[in-house]
Amino acid sequence: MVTIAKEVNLSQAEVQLKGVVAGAGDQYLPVAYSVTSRKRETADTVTLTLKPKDSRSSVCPRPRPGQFNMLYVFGVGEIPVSVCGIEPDGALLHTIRRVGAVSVALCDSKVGTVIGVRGAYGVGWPVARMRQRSLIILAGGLGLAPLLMLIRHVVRCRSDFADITICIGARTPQDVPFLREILSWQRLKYDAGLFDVRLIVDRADRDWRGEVGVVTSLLPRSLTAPECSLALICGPEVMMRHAASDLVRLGLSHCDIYLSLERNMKCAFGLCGHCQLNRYFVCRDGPIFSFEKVESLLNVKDL
Amino acid sequence: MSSVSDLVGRCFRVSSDVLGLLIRTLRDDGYIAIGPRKVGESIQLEVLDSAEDLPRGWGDQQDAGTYRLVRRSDAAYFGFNLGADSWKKWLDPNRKLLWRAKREGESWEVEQAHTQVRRMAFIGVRACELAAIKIQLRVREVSRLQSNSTDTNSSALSAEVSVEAPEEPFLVGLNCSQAAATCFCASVHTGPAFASGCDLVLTEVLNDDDHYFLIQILTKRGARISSQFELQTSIADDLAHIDRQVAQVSDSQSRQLNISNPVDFFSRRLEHSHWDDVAARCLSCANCTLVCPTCFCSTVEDTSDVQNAVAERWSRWDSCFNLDFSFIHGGSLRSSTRSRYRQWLTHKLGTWHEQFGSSGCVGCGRCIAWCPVGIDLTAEVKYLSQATR
Repeated sequence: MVTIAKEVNLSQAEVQLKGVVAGAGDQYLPVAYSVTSRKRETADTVTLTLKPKDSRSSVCPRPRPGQFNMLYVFGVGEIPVSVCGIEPDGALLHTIRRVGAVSVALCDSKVGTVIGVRGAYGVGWPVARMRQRSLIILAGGLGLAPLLMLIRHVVRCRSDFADITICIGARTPQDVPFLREILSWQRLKYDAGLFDVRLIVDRADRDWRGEVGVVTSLLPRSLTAPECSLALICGPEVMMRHAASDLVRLGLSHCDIYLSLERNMKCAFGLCGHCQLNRYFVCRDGPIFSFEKVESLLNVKDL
Repeated sequence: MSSVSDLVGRCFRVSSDVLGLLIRTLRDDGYIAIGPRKVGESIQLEVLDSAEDLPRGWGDQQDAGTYRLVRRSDAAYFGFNLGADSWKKWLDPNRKLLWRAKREGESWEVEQAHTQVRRMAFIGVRACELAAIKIQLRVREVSRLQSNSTDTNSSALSAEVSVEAPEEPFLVGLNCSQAAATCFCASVHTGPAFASGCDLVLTEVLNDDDHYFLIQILTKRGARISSQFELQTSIADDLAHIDRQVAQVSDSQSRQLNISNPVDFFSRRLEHSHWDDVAARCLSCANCTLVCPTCFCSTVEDTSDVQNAVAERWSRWDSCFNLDFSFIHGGSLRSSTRSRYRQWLTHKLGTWHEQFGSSGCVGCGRCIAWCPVGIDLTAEVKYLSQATR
């Protein structure tokens, strides 16, 4: 008769072979950050400012525009969230919409709550390629968050770029995130070059005096120098697909259009497999992709 | 007796009771010996205390959707083929504690899981399984290398990624003495012959009046362990016997998987009508991914105790067949079985090449045997070959 071996109850979780069994435990370790301020953006979005918990604790590498962090709420779980800004003192800004258990817990966290941070992950916006070019920046809804740090950079270093068009869409006037900042951009005056910040909503209310429609309708009718332009898009995937196609029609090359994709992510370092889009690990090869790389993939349903 | 290192590269005959001594010697050397064991009505890879634990005299019948143990008429130690278990059960366990955090007032501290490093010895590793072990190591290596080089925005791999690790498990390879109907390692070039990579390779020889093993010693530590055995000089025909046996196992495989340009093959067939045909049969049960020796996808579970004072993160095997695998707010991106089967097959056989420089399939046939409805990837690929739409 075969009996179960005595050592069978040996916990498999404990059996790890140095170098061979990749524990990856260290790669999953969050760094403790404290919430130092909490700002309500819209009815369902909150911006958290996060600073390392204490001076002794380690600090995550400084994120570049378009990168993301994994944010962990004690005992609840962890989600990827794009970095929307860095304060002068290095504090991280993350804007979160209440959609699931973890994001609700993040939104409900108070000043002083300790959040786990891992990052920064992913490939950011192609900042090096942007210099001296005309920029078309298109944001749908909270898609503005991953673009915010980039737009602040563009505003700060305005003279590094040619014409700048920023198109922002939201469902309703109440759903426009960072509204005060958008209005401040609209008041900016520069000597040279176009600096145009446009805002549109799907559904207006009584007080709305702006435009109504889809964000892609804000795109310029024509471009004077499409070969010197670069487009940066973030929003719902269907919006990004349409926007990218419109931009191709305006003369932009596929390789000059960049999109930020969203997928389920557990590890963020190309190991858990969840974020795969065909050959790509979105966490590692993205989340920012050139349209050239992903156009054919985005056109396949449920890929 | 010549010095131990002189044994490396040589082949000897050893009596059939060497397995008990092998297990004992490995255990005395600090290894946990792990190998095939009959548990219930299947053969699993479990801890072995002695040669008595091996499923001697058992064989199996396998086909699409079928796995049955059968009594053999002889006393072969390794007269069976692969069971549902693969070595990933030990190299990349289903559940792993990653870290634990303890709450202190408003704050909490995290500590990495204490992992006990154990030395494992795997007994009876087939050629296809060695290939699978190497593929899983490469997946982790690529993840580590590419996550360290940020902003490459490229899937291009350096020509060779080392899969050598500081302490590999002690591997006792086994030349198969028969192929199951589900085997197709020969067509994907992962077996049945061993190239290298094991410490020892055993070949079981069993005929009317004789039962012994041929042992090929490939490494120094393999030689050190083998020096405890009564090694009999092999005769010239012994090596020829191994070749004949390997050739016979290879020739007896009826299933084949041949795709000349796999990346191109699948990228042209993402909208093929045959995906609907598979989806009509596939139960999306995830069996194929769990028995696959190279499937590596995992998820994390964040837990806490009742008082929310201690929280843990566990890693656990996951499957691209699970609906919530691709969940983002608003729903799952792969909501249909069609899209999930397509993801699995195109990844395993196609995009795996672009990510890791090889196919993700080693031809072990487990996914064919353990599919409850008998879906056979070699057959599905043939259907997909017929037309591009």
